[in-house]
Amino acid sequence: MILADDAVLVREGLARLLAEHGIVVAAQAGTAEELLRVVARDQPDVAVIDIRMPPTHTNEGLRAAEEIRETYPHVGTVVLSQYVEAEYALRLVTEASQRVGYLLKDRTGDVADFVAVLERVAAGGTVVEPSLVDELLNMPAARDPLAELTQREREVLALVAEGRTDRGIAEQLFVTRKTVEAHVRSIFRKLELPSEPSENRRVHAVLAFLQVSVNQLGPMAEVRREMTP
Amino acid sequence: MNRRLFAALALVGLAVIATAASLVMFAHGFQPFGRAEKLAQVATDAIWITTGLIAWQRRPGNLVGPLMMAVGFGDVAQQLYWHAALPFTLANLVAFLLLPISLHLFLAFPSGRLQTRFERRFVAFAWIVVVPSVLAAQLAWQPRTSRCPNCPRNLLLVEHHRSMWHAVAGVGEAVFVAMLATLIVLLIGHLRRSSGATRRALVPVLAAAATAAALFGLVLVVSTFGVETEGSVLLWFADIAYAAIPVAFLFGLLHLRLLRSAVADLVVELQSLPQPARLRDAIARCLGDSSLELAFWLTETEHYVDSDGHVLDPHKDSVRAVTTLERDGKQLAALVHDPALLDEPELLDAVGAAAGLALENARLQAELRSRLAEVRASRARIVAAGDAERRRLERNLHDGAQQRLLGIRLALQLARAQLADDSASVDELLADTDAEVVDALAELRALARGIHPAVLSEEGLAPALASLTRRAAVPVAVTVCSERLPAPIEATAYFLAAEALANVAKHARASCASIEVARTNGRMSIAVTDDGVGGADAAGTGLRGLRDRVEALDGRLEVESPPGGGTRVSAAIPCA
Repeated sequence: MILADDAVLVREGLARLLAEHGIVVAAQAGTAEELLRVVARDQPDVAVIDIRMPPTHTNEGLRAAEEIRETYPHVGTVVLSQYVEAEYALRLVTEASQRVGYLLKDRTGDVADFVAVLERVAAGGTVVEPSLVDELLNMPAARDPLAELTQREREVLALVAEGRTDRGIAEQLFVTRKTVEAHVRSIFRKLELPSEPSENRRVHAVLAFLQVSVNQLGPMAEVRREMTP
Repeated sequence: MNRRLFAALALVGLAVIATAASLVMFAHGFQPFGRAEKLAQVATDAIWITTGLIAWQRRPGNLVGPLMMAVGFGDVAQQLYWHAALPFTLANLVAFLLLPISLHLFLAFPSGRLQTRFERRFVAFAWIVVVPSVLAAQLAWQPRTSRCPNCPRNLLLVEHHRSMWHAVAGVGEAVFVAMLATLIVLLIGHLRRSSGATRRALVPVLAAAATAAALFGLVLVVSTFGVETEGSVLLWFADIAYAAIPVAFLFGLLHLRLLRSAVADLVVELQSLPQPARLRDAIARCLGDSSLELAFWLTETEHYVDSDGHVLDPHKDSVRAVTTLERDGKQLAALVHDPALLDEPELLDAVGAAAGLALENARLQAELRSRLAEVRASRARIVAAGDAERRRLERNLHDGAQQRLLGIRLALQLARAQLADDSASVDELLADTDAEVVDALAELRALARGIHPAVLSEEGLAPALASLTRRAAVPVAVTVCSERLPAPIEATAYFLAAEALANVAKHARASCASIEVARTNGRMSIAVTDDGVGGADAAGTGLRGLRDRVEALDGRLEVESPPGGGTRVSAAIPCA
C-alpha cells in the first residue's frame, strides 16, 4: 500500500505500526502530486490519503483520491480526515464505487481495526466512518425515511456502511446469517432500493444511506434538483 | 481702465473714423471700390472700435478688448490706402498686422489668454516671422505702374522687382492659407473642449466669423468669374456679417457679467440649506457652468472629498480651473469650473460668499460621510482580520496539536506491541493513556470546528450548514443555494446560523427549526426560524456580536421573538 500525509510524525508512526501487522508500505508521499506519481508507479492495493495536504491544505487528498479512482479503479483509496463531513463521504462513495473508505484520522490509532478496514477496502468493500453513520442515524429529523427502520435494522445498516459482510454482521450481533439477510432486504425495501443480488448491492446500500441522509437535510438535494429539472 | 484713457481712446477712434469717412466722401484720386462700399466698411470698423472700447472698459484685464480695437483701427487704416503716398505706405504696413492681431484675438477669446503652449507659439510665429517677411516684400513692391498711373507710391520701395515680389507673395499666400487652416482647427478644438460659459460665448463669435468668411469667399469666387460685385446684395450681407463679429465678441464677454444677477437668486435658493447635490446644481446654474464640480476640504485629513465623502483631486484635470472658497479665513471647498469664469473673480467671490453657510453645511456632511465610510471600512477589516485569525488558529490546531496527539496514539500502540507478555499492568496504563488521548482529540476537534469549520472555507455555506444542522438539537430544514459567496459573507451567515441554533437548543424549547438562505437583488439574506417559546433577548451578547458582524458588512440584523410566538433571526447583507 501507499501512505500519503504531510504530517511526517503520523505518517512514519503509522507506517511502522502497519509494517508490524504485516502490511507492506511500498511508498510514502507528502503531497498529492507525489502520491499520484507513486500510485502510477507502484499500483498498490490501497492508498491511504490524508485529506489536507499542501499546497492549500484544504481537500487535495479528496481530489487525489477521485483522480486515482478514475485512472486506477483497482487501487483502493482510504481518505483520512480530522473532521468527517457527510458531503465528503458522498463525494467519495458515488454510484458503483468500490474499494473506497472515508475515516476519521483518529481511527489509525486502533491499528488492528484500521488494518481490518484496509483489508475490507482492498477486497472491494466500502467503509464509511462509524461516527458519521452514528451521527446520521441519530440525527433529529421531522420526516426521516430512516425513521421507518427498526433499531435492529439501523444497527445492521451501520455495520453494512462499515463494510462488513453478512457473516461479520451476524457474528457481531449474535444472530444467524439468514436473520441478517432478512434485515438487509427489509432495509432495501424501506429505503426504496431495487433489490439486486450483485456485489454492488452493499455499496448501493451505503450510497443510498448517505444520499438519503444528506438529501433529507436539504442542501445537496436542492442543488441536484436545480441542475436536473 | 480710467476715465481719461477711455475718453482719449474714444476721441481717437472718433477722429480716425471721421477722417476716414470724410476722405471717402470728399477726397479724389485712386479708388478701387465705390464710395458706398467704402463707407460701409468704415462703419463696420467703427463698430469694431466701439465694441472693443466697451469690452476693454468692462474687462480692463482682458486683452480681447484692445485686440478688437486694433482690428478696427487696422482695417480703417486701409481705407486710407488710395490717397497720398505716406498714408498709403503706413496703411499697407498696418494691413499686414491684421493677420496676427486676428489670430491672437480669436484664440485668446474669451479669457484673453492663450491656453496652450502650441497656441502661444503659433501666435508668436505670426507676430515674429510673418510680419517681417511681409515687410520685406514691401521693399520690392511698386503699385504705381504704367497700368495704374493713379496709384499712390510705395515709400518703402527700394527697387521694384516683379519676380521677387511674386515669389514672396506666393509664399506669403501659402503661409497665410496654412495659418488660417490651423486657426480653424484650433477653434474647432476650443469649441469641442469648452463647456458651459465658454461655449455660450464662443458659438456666436464663430458663427458670425464663419458666415462673414463664407460670404466674402463667395464674393471673391463670383468676381473671379467676371461678375460685377460692386454694390451687390452679397457684399452688403458680407459687411453685416463682418460687423456682427465684434458684437458677438462683446456679447460673449458680457454674458459672463450678466450671470452676476443670478447670485441674488442663489442667495434666496440657499436660504433652505439644500442637500449637497442640489447645492452643486444651484451654484452651477448661477455660474452658467453645468459641468461644475464641488470639492469639500477636510481639515483633519487634509484632502478634498466629493459630497459623498469620496476622495477627490480637484487639480486632476489641467484644462479645468479651480477656485478655492474660504469662510472666516478657513478653507472650505473648491469649485472645479470652466476656465472662462476666471474672468469673473468678483462673480466667483460673490457666489462663494452667498453659498458660504450652505457650503459649510455641505462640507460637514461630506466630512461625516467620509468618516462614516472610514469607520465602516475599518469595521469590515476588523471582522476580516478576526476571520483570518480564526482560520489560522484552526489550521495551527490541525497541523500542530491534533497531529501530535495522533502521533502519541501511534507511539502508544508501538509501545504496547513491544511490551513483554507479563507486563499487563503497564499495558493497562498505556490503554488508559490512549483513551485519554482519544478524548483529547475529540475535544480538540470540537474546539477547532467551533473556531472555524474547515468545511465552510473549503466547500461553502451549503455543506457547512448541513454539517451544523446534523449536530443540532432539533430537526432543521435548510434551504440554501450552492453558489459560493464572498468569504466574509459566508462566515457571517454561518456564525449567525450557529448562534441562532445554539439559542434554539438553550432557550427556545422548539420542536423544529428552519434556515433559509437566498441571494436576491444583490443581497444575501438569511433567516433562522424556530417554533419555540420566543422572548429572545436581542441585546444579549451573542446576538449583539452578530449584529456588529452583520453591520460591519453594511447589513442589517433583525430579531423577532414575541413571547410564545417562536423566534426569527434574520439578516440581509449587500452582496455584489
